[in-house]
Amino acid sequence: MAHATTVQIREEKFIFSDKAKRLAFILMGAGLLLALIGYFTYHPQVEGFTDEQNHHLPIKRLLASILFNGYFFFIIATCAAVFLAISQVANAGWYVAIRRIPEAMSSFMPIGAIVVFGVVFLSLVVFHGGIYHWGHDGVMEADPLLAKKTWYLNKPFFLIRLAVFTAFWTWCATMIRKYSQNEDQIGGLTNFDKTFKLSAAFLVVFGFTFSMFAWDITMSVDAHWYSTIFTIYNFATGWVSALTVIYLITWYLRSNGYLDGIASDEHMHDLGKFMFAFSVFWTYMWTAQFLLIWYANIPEEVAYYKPRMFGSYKFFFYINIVLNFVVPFFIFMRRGAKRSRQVGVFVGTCILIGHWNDVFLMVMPGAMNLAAAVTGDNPTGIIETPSQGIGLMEIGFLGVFAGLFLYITLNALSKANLYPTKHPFLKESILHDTGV
Amino acid sequence: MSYESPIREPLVTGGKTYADVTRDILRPLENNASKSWWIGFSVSAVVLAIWIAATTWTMLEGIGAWGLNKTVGWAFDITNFVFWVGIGHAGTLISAVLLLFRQKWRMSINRSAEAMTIFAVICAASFILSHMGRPWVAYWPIPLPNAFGTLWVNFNSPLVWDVFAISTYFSVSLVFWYIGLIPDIATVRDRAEGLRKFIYNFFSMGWNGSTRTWHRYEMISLILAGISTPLVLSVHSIVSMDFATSLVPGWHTTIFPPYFVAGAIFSGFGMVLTLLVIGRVVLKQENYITMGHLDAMCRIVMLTGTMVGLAYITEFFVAAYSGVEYEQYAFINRASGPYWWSYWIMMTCNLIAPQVFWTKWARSTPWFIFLMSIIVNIGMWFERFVIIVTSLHRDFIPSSWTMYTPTITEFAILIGSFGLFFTLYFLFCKYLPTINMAEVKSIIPTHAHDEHHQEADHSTIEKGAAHG
Repeated sequence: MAHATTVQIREEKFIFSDKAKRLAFILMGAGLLLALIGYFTYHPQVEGFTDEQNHHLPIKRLLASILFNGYFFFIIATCAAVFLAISQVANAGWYVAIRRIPEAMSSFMPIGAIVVFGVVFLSLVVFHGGIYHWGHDGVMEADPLLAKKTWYLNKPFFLIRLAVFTAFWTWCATMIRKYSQNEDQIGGLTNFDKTFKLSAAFLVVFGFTFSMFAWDITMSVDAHWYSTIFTIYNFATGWVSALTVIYLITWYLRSNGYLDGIASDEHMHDLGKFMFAFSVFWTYMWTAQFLLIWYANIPEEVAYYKPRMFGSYKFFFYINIVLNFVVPFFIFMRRGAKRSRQVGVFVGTCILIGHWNDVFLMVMPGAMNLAAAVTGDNPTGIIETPSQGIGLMEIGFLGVFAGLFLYITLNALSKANLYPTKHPFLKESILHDTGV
Repeated sequence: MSYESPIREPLVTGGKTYADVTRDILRPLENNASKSWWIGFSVSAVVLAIWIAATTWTMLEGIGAWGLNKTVGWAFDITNFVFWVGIGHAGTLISAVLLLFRQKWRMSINRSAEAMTIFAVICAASFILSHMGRPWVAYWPIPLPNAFGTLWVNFNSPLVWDVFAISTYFSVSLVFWYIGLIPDIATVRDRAEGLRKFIYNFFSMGWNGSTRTWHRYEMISLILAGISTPLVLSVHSIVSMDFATSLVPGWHTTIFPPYFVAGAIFSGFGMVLTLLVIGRVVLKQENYITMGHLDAMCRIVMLTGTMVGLAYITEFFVAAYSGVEYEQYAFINRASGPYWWSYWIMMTCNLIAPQVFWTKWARSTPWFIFLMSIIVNIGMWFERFVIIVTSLHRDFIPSSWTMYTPTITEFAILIGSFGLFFTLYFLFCKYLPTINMAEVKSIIPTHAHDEHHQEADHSTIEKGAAHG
């Protein structure tokens, strides 16, 4: 084993090829085009709705499509930063060879935060509600249940905390990246120690603030409803998606000849194990929320699952479990599957589509509903809109944000060395062996 | 092979050789019991006698010996049950989850933590038996075919799920612990004579140290770790569902499963620290259970304590946010009702106190860690008490509101269960190696190895110890 401890550490830059750039721009351009076509050709004729009610749907759907896509990519980028922070405070060594990938992903955070903030601002302020039922004029006063929530659900407080939280996380991610690149220059342990302290602080703040963030952005879409596990469930979605993106980008780099002799099948295996384990973790959170609500059968709570499980969103509800649990669990259990590019890309794609669908399912049903007068017959003041399915708007904005995410990530990746050359655990990572 | 960065602290200190490991760890087994062992064992045995007396009294007298009433029909018994089951979780986490995460520092603490798991689950099971009132029909929750009539157990009940969860957990933990013991029992056998040799030979199951036995050992460890990992999550999740599937405000909340699991790991590490801070000194194992180990466990206590605290705050917040007045009252009553003191003990011990572990001093001062571990144990016991009693004692009809006061019998059973736990633990310390010798030998720094590689290392940034 004498050779095995010898490793070659050299400068290696990722070149953001024109082909990849073109792909990113095509995704963005085509996505935007599709979304616009989708918006202008969407003339809903929902049975039983008046023309005026139908008229509200296109803008809701447009805002909701931007929101759930923007939110999805923002939590992926944020969870990439959380991955760096957790690995740092856990003194993990294995991940260092691929560390620059989550670093690059986290550089999407500023744009993602602006998108999320922008669409929330548009909804609440410009469109007086938009996708947030509680944001409509007069709803909070007329609805006795929502009237009790004004201390938390009010527009100024909502927007301020959203801005503060996302700005703080973005700042932490930026500093983590900066320390890491600074380490390439000067070596030593100063930057490592600084990252450690910052990561610990970031994680504590993140734990508490992400709770409110998830309640705000996705839970308050269904303003009457509440679930204490909702935050962790959202985190599980973002976290497993972020791990999957790291895994897929690593495959992309390796298959293009990058990271040769640095990241190996061992790293793929471990990332794959994480995808497997956290898919199960997501399922655990999903089950905890679903089972307890289904079992207790309290009307206020099951109302959330009714349109999803029995109503027009049925297909998305069941496909959610298939893509996010059945596929990774059964296909990714074997060792060989996690080390195979073909299988890995297939499972990774399923997981990403699955969690995109998951976020769709969190936002869409509530966002498309219409506000009505609170009466004895309709105490919630909500008129349910049946599922409008996944159409050009949803797919279009997926393209826009996927392209943007890809562009920003790969661009950030090309700016620094492809792996941190002076990280104290680099050698451990290069010589990493999963042991099986 | 694996490589370790030189900035990592060694896991075993004192320049131990393989022979030193065997000698150090088998010292308590191969010599007459020390005075401190006898004192500890005797005290535990006396406390165990209290447990036997109080449980016997409960069996003879019935549940009427306790302070339960129509409103609060579930109190100390189930609090103690959840408390003990929770304690067990650290053992499984250390041996299974940390194995999967390749955390080698687990190697010198996993044996005692797993033993603790098993003894804690035994204590927990004893509360299930005693709170049944008719322990002679304790097999009724088991879904046996209709030999006893036409009734099956209610499969919809989380209490039945609990029977499955706990019994699976206990059997898997026992097998995992025992498999890990086999190579070490064989070492004891090889050094023993006479009857001792015969007994340890029997339990070593023909272990001969060949490559084949090691290969099987490693495979089975990995498989059992894979099975145990979901068990760590499932057991306390199902325990939480005993409460969360109900309609009782304060019980029915979706965060219960992960929150109970985090709390269980928190309390489990509290107990591991209680045992090991003392044990490493008494058994002279400071070079194996180093300050680094204590430091790492303190960090886990801080992390899980904060997670539990986040769950408390989430519950409180969502109760306020929900607009449901029953839910809101349940939480206000917890914090400011007649049991306010128990709520604030819980908050202080579980969320606030562990924050001291942010300081290096707190993580590196054994007496303080010991004190903190006791605080954690107290806090986690009160957490269950708060959840159970405060949610029940003021139920939906104010005319049935009442207080619950435990009787002396209940206190005696609670205190006595520590006697049961520690008696078993002291026996374990005397008759089985408390540290996994075989695994620890694999992480001793091999310095000769290190020097050998220095010349080949010039293309790298640093040097470190390599293990085969």
